[in-house]
Amino acid sequence: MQAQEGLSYSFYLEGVHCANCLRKLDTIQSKIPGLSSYDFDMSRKTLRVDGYNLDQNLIQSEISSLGFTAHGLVGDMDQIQQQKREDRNLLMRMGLAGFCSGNIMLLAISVYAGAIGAEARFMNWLSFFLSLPVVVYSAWPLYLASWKGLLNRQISVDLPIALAILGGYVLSLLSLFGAPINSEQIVYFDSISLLIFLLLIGRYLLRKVQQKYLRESRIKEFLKLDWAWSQDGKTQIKIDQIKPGDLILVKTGETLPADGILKSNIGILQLALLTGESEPKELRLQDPVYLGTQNLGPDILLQVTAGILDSRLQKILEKMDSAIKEKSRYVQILDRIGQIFLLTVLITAALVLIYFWPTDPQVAIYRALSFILVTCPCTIAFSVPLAFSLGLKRAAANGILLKSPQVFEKINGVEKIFFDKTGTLTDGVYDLLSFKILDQSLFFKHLEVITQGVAQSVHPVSKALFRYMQKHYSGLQTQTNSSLKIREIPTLGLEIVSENLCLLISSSRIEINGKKIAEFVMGDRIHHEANSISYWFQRKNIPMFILSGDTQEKAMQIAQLLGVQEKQVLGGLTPEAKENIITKEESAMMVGDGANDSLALARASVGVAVFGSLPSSLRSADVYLLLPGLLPIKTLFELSENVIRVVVRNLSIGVVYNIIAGTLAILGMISPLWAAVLMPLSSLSQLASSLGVLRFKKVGSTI
Amino acid sequence: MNVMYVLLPLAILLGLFFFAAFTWSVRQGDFDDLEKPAHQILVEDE
Repeated sequence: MQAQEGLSYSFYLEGVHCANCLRKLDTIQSKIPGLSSYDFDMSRKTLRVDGYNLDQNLIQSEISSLGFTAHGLVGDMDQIQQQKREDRNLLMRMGLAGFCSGNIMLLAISVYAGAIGAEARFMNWLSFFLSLPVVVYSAWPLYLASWKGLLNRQISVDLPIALAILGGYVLSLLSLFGAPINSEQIVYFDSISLLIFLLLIGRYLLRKVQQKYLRESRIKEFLKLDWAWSQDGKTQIKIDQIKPGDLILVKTGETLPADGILKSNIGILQLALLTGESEPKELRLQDPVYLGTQNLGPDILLQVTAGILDSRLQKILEKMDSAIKEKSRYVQILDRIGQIFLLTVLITAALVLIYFWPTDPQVAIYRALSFILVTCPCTIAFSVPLAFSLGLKRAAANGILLKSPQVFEKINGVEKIFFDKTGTLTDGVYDLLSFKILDQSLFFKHLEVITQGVAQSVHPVSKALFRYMQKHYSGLQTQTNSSLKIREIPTLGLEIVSENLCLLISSSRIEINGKKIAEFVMGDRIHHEANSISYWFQRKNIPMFILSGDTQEKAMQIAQLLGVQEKQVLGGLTPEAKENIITKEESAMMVGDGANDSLALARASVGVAVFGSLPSSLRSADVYLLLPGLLPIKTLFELSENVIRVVVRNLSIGVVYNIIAGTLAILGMISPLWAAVLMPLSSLSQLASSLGVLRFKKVGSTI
Repeated sequence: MNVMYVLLPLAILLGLFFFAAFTWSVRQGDFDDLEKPAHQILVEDE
């Protein structure tokens, strides 16, 4: 074999979660030719495969045959490597801070316990040397973030912390170097190092949670399309090489790889993902068709008008991306509180300085600095992020992925909830809803012929009927019967002709020689959890709306079942129309699944993509349900309430602590001992309070 | 109390040793994937 450049592919794997899965994954070693090494990272769920002459499609299909879903990652591996480097870096800073602050605390205890004179000085100097690397190296990212914030004319959450650290450090240094030989030194090395250590732990945990659960949103792959068939259905063309004017063939069950004009006489397409229409559409010669729709009927030929980059779907996606960007400008309440907090602290410190300066400049500096130090911003810096990250974890345990902790805040303010119909409130599968036999004897006499007939048709109605027959009447001869003449007649239905028999199957009945023998209803079944969720929203007094790309009539059918009022049902909406409705709402939650929802999801205050959504919806949504069903939405609301309650509690504790500690500092009563007791005490009470999020248990029937 | 001036640096030296060990394990990538090892131990080696 000709030696080739080494190749490496990366995948994001869904479904690997236990030892057994790992064992299964190990078997790919022997199945993929050219593989030289592979590495699976379980917490990031990424698989990296290295080797020569590797075939990406083969790897992907081998992985799916093991029961996992593999999403190709493009150029993402660099990002992951970068992430790993940053992780290690943070871990080193954390370890150093832990080592140093632990030792400093031991030294400080002896001073608090009564060590004086030369011994105390020795301890303080040792503490100083130990705290130096913590303040310089471990806390470096804090200074960097604050400085970057200032350059952008923003006050970042890190700024008050950085100021407190530096303020306290300067104060301690002044005392260490400046205190007269027989007076006591006032140093805060222990409090400062511990603060930095706790902060870094909080950051590390938050980072880990986010890495683990937020990956989905970064999947770049869109629709599993790589190849398309050429006109004759024999050769394959790469999807990005399709040009306008090309003729391509789309086989039954395949997804259209381009926008175009239908060149077959008839085509049956499922448009649900693009438009939200549940019923497959029958199209004629010269009708426009779009990328992303699925061919449910016979093979069709189409003339391309726009390739993947100019397709209607791509336009929607591009618009969605810009909507996402706009959304990220949202300012977190936390940031605002942080800014108010910082301003208050700085102004108070300035007032203290001005007030005491005339009497004794040195006292003024000490009191101002110690005030900055003890008004510990650990509520903002440590406990609130911790509460949020625990909330994210709890959500994930309940099958809900949140893209960012801000979502909790926004969910709590949701005033209206908008549901997509197809695939969200309904199962999104066009299937047989009911079947009624009108003439028993005729029906059973010809059951076999009917079944064999529908088995040979690819029309969605025939397929649904075939599934129904197979399920309800066992022992049927279903093999192809060549004596039957099958013909699809546009607008009429399927005609099956045998010797003395003429069967006609339309979209709602079966006729034999002109006599109706069975009736049936085709449609999209309502999701079994839709009722309980709409009832729950009614009780919560959150008005529920239905936005559908389907006709008003179809949307109303579902709305009536759910008790949603007519004026809150909007049908026949394009993706852009959905977007417009959502944009007008201040705080709306949108729940959807298809490409036709992705614009609305991106615009909504909170966008929720249900299980099985398109990757495009995942990218634009803030929340992604990992479990099928709608009840997780209820869990999401309850959890957000819980998280916000804890955050408010933390902020209250913080305010009380800061008022007490701040007053003591201004009165000059804060000694290093007080600081060493109060600061960890505040941190610990905050920690305990944050853990309250964990009391939120798994709800309902998850998994 | 003079023994303190010997013991304290010793204690810190000991701590430094463990910190060095920690540094080494971070560089080795021991903390990169915190989940796989827990499961990997159940997978038999071929």
